[in-house]
Amino acid sequence: MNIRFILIILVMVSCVKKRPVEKFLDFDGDRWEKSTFLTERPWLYRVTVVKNGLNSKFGFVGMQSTPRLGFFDVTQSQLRFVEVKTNYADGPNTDKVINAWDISHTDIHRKVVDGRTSNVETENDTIPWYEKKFFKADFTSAEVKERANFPFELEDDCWDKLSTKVVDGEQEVTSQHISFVLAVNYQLKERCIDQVAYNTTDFNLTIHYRYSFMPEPDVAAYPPYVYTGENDPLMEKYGYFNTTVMTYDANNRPKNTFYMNRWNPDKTHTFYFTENFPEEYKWIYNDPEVGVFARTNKLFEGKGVPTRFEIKDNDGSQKFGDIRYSFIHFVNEPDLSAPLGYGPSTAHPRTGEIISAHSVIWTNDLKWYVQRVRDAQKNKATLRSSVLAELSKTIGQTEDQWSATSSFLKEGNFAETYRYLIPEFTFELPGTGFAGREVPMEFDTLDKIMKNQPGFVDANRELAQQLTRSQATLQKISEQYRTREYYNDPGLSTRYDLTENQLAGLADVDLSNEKKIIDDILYRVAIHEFGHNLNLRHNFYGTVGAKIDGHKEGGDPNKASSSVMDYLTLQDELGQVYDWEIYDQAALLYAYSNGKLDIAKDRAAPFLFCTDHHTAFNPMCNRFDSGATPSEIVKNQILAYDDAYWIRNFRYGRSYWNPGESYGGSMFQTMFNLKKMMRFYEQAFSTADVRDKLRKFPLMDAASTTRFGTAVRTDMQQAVKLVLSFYKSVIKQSSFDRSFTDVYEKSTGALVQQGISSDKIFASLFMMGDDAFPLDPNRGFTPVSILSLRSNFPELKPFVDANISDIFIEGGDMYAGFTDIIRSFYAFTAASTYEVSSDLTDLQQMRVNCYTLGTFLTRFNVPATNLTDSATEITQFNQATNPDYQGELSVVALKVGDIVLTAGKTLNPMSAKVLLANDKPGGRYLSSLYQRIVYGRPSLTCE
Amino acid sequence: MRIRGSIITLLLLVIGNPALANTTLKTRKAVKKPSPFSVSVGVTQLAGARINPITQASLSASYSLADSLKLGLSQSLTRNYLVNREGDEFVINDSSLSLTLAPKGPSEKLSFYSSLGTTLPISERSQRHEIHTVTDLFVGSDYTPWKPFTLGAGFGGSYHFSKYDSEATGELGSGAALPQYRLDVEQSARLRFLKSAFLGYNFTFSETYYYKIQDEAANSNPRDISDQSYQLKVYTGYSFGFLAITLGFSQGTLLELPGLKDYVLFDEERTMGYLAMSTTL
Repeated sequence: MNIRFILIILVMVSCVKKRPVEKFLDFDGDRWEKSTFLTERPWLYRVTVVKNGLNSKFGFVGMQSTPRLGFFDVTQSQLRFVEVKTNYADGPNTDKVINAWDISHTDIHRKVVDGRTSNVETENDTIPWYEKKFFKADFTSAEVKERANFPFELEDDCWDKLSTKVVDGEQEVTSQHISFVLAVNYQLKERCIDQVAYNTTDFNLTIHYRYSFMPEPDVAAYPPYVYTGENDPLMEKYGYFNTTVMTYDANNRPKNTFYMNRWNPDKTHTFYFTENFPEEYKWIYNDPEVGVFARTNKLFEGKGVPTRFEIKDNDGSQKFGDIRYSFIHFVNEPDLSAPLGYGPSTAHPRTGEIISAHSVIWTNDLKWYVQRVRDAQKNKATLRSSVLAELSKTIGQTEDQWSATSSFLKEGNFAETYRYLIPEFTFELPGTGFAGREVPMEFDTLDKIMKNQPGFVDANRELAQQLTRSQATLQKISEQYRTREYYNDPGLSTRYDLTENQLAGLADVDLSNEKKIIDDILYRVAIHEFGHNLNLRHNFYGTVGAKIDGHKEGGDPNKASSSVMDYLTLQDELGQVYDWEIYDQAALLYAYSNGKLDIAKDRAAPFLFCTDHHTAFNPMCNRFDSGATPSEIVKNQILAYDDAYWIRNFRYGRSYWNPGESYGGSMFQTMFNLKKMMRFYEQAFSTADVRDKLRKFPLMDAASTTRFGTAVRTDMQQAVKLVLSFYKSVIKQSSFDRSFTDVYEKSTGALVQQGISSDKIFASLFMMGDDAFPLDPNRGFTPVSILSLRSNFPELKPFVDANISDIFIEGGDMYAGFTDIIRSFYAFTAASTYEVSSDLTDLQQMRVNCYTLGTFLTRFNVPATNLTDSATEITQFNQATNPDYQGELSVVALKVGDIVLTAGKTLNPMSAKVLLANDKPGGRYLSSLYQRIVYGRPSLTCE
Repeated sequence: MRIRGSIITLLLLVIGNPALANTTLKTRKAVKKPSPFSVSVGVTQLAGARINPITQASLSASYSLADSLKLGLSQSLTRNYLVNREGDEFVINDSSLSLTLAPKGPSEKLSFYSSLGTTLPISERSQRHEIHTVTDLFVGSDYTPWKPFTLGAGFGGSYHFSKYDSEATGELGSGAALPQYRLDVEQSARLRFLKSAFLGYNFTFSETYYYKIQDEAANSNPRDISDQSYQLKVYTGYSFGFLAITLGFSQGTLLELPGLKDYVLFDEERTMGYLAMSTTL
């Protein structure tokens, strides 16, 4: 009985259940275990813009920071992400904090009730912060602004950061990935609210930044490609993105090592379509025959390179911006700040191994793009300007003859020789990021003129306004060249922008198959961005390379570029093969075979390569250009300028159109790109240089070398003539064809047409001015002027004389005072020459003397009453009393009120023509200008 | 919740285990009553310097099954004069059912008794925490060396049968570990004087063992296993035949208070006086 009783008791005792623990409720959801963060293995980190507002004024989806390698640590108040130290880890140096967030430490334990552990979880306040195993982070409190993490500065002068919040449901903390998304609200400053912002109420915008951290990939598993140094010849041969790592050598001297960025060549790498990727475009990537991935794998497979890439659909677990994954992302929504394509990659900061990459392509503009082509064809017939006709007249050739001098490439091995020589005459910027950072560029000719002639500004207010705008443009551009941010930062150069330059040469585009046009554009953009993803930089010599080959016997004249990494005009972009081009194949095989495969070796001369920073001063290296030779390139640039007029200068259905500043910048670039050809003529392909450099190149015999050298010089001369003729044609452009004034709609005041005054100002500045810029970095920043060209290259003198004299006498349709500005450009350029060489020849050409009536009678023995309203030529005068006209056969005299202006027809041919044209104000202006420059007189003084 | 728990603990301390305390007293009275039925009503007012006043009322009934065996049933109610937001003004405590055996001792001076009791879980607390019952067994002995003076000693234990190892959580409770069993040792003395007046004391030492609700050894400490406590009551009173009035002082505390490392012998928060009246119908 007793035993039974005891047994029953025991059974009942054993029946006691464990009450479920009341778990600590963490409603915020951002309570993380420290051990996940505080790992021995470093984390690789990146920030990516994953969403942005419609009409976003800055930032676009896919924009990303440079990756950083670091460790997490916790202090009493912060979670810090601290850069991995490589050297002197025990030294006094403080930690390099990449980012830091406010945290509170937390630890959950069972609540103690009456001294005993309970079944309720609660915060453990009985232990110090460093013993607590968890923390709660306020990720919105990042010390480093999101945008400071990006490799380039975004325009934030107008935007205040209002608030930041963590996006719900996007946080992930595991041992393999730490990620959160911050929604940052920006507010437009009041002073920046323009009408567009006012009407669209775009006063604020929200950008989502995904922070993504992954454990550092296994470095030992990747064999890096190390350049021999910053002067490794490979840098000039193939353009790859690279990673520079600074360490310290045995003597504690900083030492840079250059790693090629590339994927692990021994592996297969996966890209994912982002969620909701449009099915209609997947073929571009996954088509088994022409898909970008198939073409890439086929290239590698064919040469026995083990690297492979695969594309997969997204199962929802691969979120865009996750540093571990690579994506193909198409954006269909309009986005004002977005380019056409963007293809950044994330490389390990120590080895250059590409960990992930993404291609983003914006498709929303494509249909409109086709419409633009359609309209371009319609407008072409009616809007063709007299610029081209005037140019043909000036140069004395019809348009089809403009680049006839390029035909030398058809002879023998001239094309291959030329291709060999181009890299020899492709120059790097003076100074690199490693040695000699800043380029002291300054486009200040216009400034000088404006400052020296305050009276002119008052007298010609309308023109002065236009000049002031151009001044502002020049100032901004000078700054850009000085800092060289754009040209030096490879991070920027994976974006592909749509510009009006793409619209060149649209006449021959077949518009019957709209889908094919869109497919062609998308494919080319897609493979271009994927090229960036693989490690290729831009190659703007793609067009030059292809066109050289096109001139060769059996070459394909329709091949637009030897690289998909070029920027092509729309016309060139269409109808190209769906595949990598030959340069790309060579570069990819070289990189992924560790340099073992180099198909360039099968050719007589290497493939051509030039990239973003080369475009600064090399006239053959341009975006959106086409052509093999200087004359072809110049011709195409001129045609591109003309083709784009209808979209550049007309509203063309734009909801908002304020072309002001960007128009000035665009005109600067058009005119400056052409001017570079003058410097090129001075410094490249000289006969001696060609002969010298061809000694190393066994394709040419001596006679051929001479013939080749002459042919190239002839073509370059043709290019310079085209440039000058073009400048002159723009300056002389009649306002009947193309108005120099802006045209407004009478009833609404809306701008309907942008005048070409900026075109004329920049054309005259670069034709007559002498702003300095370099080409060969060892030949300095000397002024580049038509006058030095004239004196250094006599073969150009007659052509130059005729053309500058023409615009010197009459500047064409433009605001009052424009001709005087042209004359001033000439005068100040001539004055610079005088200052340097004390040679007065150029200044003399524009000299006008001023006499009172009495003095004039004494000097020339001609009573003023004999002078009419028109200029009079005086051939009989005493040269002894007129030392200024020693040896002169005929002096032109023009009476202006109670003074007489004179100029010698031989000694002062340009000013004499002005007087002969009875241009009284012009004569007075020239006289005054001469006196100010030569004698420093503030106002006109007559003897 | 916390206050209510404390009050219950307090009452247990003041009157000991209600079942045990009542039955012990009633046993002695029952011996003197010839009728097999007995009903008692009692009211106790408790007050202390640091304690809010409490009134407790109890109703007990007993039936003598034999000369030395009695079945008892008692029910008590508590009235709190100050309740917090979650507390109740009137609290019905668990009912108590007991069986008392008081055989005739070997001599006039020495007697033995024992009792077996169990509670009926009618209180809100028991229902909320799903405590089925508390069963206790007590064995004691009285020694009367001199007629008006009796010395008592005894020991006992109780076992708590409950569905879970801890109080309810969330809104219903603190999740605190529930007692599993308790062992008591008691010693008392009582002096009768002036025919119906009495004076006495009662000292109980208890050790209560709790369910161990957390498995992690690292987190366990001795207090997770048991509490040691004592209770001392000193009282005096007068019995008017059917009515007894008692005035007493009670002090009882855990020997080791939570958060303190030292033993505590006096806790003013657990010190109180009480005035009790009881009558047997």
